[in-house]
Amino acid sequence: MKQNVHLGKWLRSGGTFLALIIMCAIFSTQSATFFTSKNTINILQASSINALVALGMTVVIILGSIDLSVGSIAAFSAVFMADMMVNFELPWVLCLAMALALGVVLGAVNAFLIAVVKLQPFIVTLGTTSLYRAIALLYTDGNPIFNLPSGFRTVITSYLWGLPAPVYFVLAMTIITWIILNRMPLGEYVVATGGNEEAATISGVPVVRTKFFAYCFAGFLAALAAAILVGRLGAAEPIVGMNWETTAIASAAIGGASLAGGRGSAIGTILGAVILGTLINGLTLMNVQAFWQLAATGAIILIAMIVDKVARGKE
Amino acid sequence: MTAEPELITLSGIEQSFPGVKALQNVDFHLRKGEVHALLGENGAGKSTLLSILAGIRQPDSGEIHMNGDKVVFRCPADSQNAGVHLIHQELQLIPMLTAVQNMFLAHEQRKFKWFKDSAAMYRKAAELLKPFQVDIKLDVPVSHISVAQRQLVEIARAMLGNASVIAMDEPTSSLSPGECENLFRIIDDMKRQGKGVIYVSHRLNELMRVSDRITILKDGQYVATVNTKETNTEELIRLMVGRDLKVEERISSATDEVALEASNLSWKDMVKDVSFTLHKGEILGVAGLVGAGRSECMRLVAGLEKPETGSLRLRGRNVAFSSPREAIRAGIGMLPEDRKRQGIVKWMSVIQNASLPVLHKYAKPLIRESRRASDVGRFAKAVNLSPPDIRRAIGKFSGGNQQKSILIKWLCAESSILIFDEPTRGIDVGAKGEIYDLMRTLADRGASIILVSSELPEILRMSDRVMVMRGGERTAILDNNGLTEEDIMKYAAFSGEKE
Repeated sequence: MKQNVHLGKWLRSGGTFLALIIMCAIFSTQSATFFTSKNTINILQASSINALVALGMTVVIILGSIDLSVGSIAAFSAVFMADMMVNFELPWVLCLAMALALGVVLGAVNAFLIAVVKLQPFIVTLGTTSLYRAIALLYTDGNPIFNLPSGFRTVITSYLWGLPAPVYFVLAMTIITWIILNRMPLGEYVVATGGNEEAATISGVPVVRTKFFAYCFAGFLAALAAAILVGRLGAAEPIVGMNWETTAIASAAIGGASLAGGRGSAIGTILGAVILGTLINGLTLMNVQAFWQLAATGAIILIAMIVDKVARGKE
Repeated sequence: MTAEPELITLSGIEQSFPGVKALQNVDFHLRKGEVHALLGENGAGKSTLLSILAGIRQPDSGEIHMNGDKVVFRCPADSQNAGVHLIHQELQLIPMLTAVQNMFLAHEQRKFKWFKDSAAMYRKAAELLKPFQVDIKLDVPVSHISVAQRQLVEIARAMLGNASVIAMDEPTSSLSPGECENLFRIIDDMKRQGKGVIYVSHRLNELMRVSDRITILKDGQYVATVNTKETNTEELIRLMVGRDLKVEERISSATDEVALEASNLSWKDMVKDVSFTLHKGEILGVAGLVGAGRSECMRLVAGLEKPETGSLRLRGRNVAFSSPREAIRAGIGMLPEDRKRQGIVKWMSVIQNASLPVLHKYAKPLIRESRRASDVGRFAKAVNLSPPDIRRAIGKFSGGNQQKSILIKWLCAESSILIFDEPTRGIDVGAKGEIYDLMRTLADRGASIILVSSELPEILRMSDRVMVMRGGERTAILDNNGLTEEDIMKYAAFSGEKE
């Protein structure tokens, strides 16, 4: 059911989608291999990790907050899961569940410091980034963990109807995130708290509970993304997840999320993630140097922000 | 005999904002060596006049003359360069900077053009502060010194700029009696130096003590200028509020049943031992000046803060709210003072805003949109929301309709106790009437209403009883039987009169 308030959001997502189409059109003229099914699958596969993290980040951003620690949560839960699988030889499903639970717990620690102790989100997650990363490094002495059980690896690297498994994970989590944000009270609480925390409090929104949800959700998705990456690589390294937060924030921003809070969408973020993935992929096919790719990524983010400002300025 | 030109003269000042005439043909004359007070109710136009004087606003028409010459203040710097310095009620010092730094901000004394001459600034600051006879630490952030001391720093800053006109807005609101006396002594010094002081305050005793003349404004219009020696507080009150009271038939629906009982509520320094009862069907007006602690007191009732001492009884049972959520569940709904900052989530629709307190009612577990829309739609019709598009973002509605949307929220929540805090502020006349009618209807249907307002006509029109607060305390509870604005003002403005 479309609501007038969401019309603006659809318009914004529509614009983002248009940008994606244009980008694909340009790339397909520059490289013969761009517009092939194999390449499309490559793009989706490569973007899926970031897409998951970005979904979690979107919820935190809509809340008006930020989570810089997602990369480190990924690292810690990755090595923990691998350790359980390889050294303790527990069933991989159990290990995966434990890793996801760890992600939730690490997110809860962030939430506690932010919502209960009332510290600044930026500073808290800056601190936990280092803390969680350090624990991951100490846990493994800086070494990667190899020899993950084949059962786990097979599932993660399997294909269904021509698409790799990670894409289905992203699809499922996107739908779940969308339902939470648009059809459940919890989602409306997130939007309300991000839009005007004081007004939300006066209206009876359980703000503390809502903040816990956002951070635990982000932690869960970070852990899930890490698990998928580990499954694909066959090894868990404590240095995994570096700069994941930057790409996630960029995806959400391109997708229409406002860092001031109160605005953002799951669909928009996925589009943003795909745009970033497409950009890197296209430039690689064109043999563009990696440093220029970095410049292009930065430029895309700034352009998206300017377009956003101009479009919003009319409101 | 040559008449000495006045220090500053404002003549024929007009200022309109959308929907309201803030100032109409207002004159103000200040002589050298004079303390001239500016008096009027909230909304009389005092702040607007001061902002024009300080160059913060330009009047729609009218002129300013200083020492006989016409001047135009296009920005605050113009006004300051001309020697006019405004000391706001909320002091404009930067908390992290020291007294010296604040005093010399943007006008630092320099050494070799590029470097600050700290030593010279220190000396100058100490020299300016000496006559105040108060020991002020010059090298700590001003957030660490007392409010009274901060005020003196502001005054010293004005002196530094060679101000000839110093305007003070409610200067004594945070001062102890001793500090007030010190301030008055400094003002006397300024008079002797030939400076002009404009003194804005509600404290009539102070005006009688410190001013030479008093100008009264009412509803944006000039009422009179009186010599302080020739007047008294009764006359001042009469000039301030006397207006044609249209006596409207007020039909009360108050019952004897007690809905809420507040006993000895205290919170920080802003609510001191306040007690009151609220009956079913009653509208209890809460009057008082800005800073009296009314909103703070109601925040305690709505569960937004926990009272430090005191208790609340709801329908005979003791309650203690640890969050607004609990208060809402108990049937209390609050329409806050600052709609934009506290009342609405701008980008969300009316439906979303209105259903926030009771969202769990519609979630099974996904939100039943159609149920929600129809409930909100029903109430939107009842309050005559215009335009009736409940899917529109709430921020796009006019002030009056935003207020109605906030009311829809509490109708959805089926609140039995409603707190309206300055409900018609910034709302045009037509919408005001609608809000009053809605309040009346709700009371008739058995709701209990607390109406906090600075508009005395509003209080008198709607309330069955009126509680007056001053300085955090309850100074009176009056039955609205032939009550006049002067009666209320007596307890709101006077120092010392309590029922």
